[in-house]
Amino acid sequence: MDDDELFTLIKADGASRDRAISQLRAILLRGLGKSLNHRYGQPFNAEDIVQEALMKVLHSLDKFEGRSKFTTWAMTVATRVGISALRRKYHQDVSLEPFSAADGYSIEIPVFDEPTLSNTESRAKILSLLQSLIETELTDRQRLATRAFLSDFATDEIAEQLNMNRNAVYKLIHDARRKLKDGFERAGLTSQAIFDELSEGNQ
Amino acid sequence: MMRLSYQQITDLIELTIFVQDDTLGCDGCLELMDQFAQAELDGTAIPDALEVVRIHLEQCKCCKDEYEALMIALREIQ
Repeated sequence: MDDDELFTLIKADGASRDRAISQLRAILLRGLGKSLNHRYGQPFNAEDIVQEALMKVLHSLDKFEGRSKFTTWAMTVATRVGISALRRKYHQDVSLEPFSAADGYSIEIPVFDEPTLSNTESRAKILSLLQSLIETELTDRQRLATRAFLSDFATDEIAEQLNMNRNAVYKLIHDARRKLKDGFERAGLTSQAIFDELSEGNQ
Repeated sequence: MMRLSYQQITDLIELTIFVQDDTLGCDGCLELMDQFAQAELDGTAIPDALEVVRIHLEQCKCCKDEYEALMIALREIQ
């Protein structure tokens, strides 16, 4: 059964639809079994995840516009479902400290001993400015999202904690990055200069 | 106060200096990801209209993780 036939039969009624769904399920199981096993350090219950992904695909069929092969589209939908499920499990036992409002969502850039980011005058200046920009340029919500992201929370997990959608969280963090970059540039520090300084220190 | 580790500071600086304008966002990326993946699978040139996907994938770790997993899955079923 080729891709076009698979899609046509899944959209139809009757026994042939059941066979087509079984085939799609087997395809998703094989693909996700390969791509998601051990991802995020999670034991992978392929049956559960594939069933959830298959349901999402079947409920989203009207969004398939034929701009890729049907199985490519279905695997794209299924991958997001599968990875989101694994991320949820991964973060179940992780500290939610980055989300705590008790400290005003503050972020501290400490001074390190060697080997360090701050062992030259110019690098110390970069870090001092970064600390200042975090405090003066970022909103509470931007600091919160940024520190959660730096604590390895995925964007969709942060979104769930903050009762926002993933797109909005991505934009929140992206805008924060932009503000920090603009702040460095206003102080005469280009991205290239910062990159060169840090690269030099890592040699 | 959350005290950043050496690695977190490095990550934050990299996030800052490598930020690019991104008009797509995660939802837009998901809508176009299958086409982008199909072009890569087929070995064809990425159309100009999908250049926004490449930019977003460079900016968004979550979508990049998903894209990498997707390509592994698609190569497995080819």
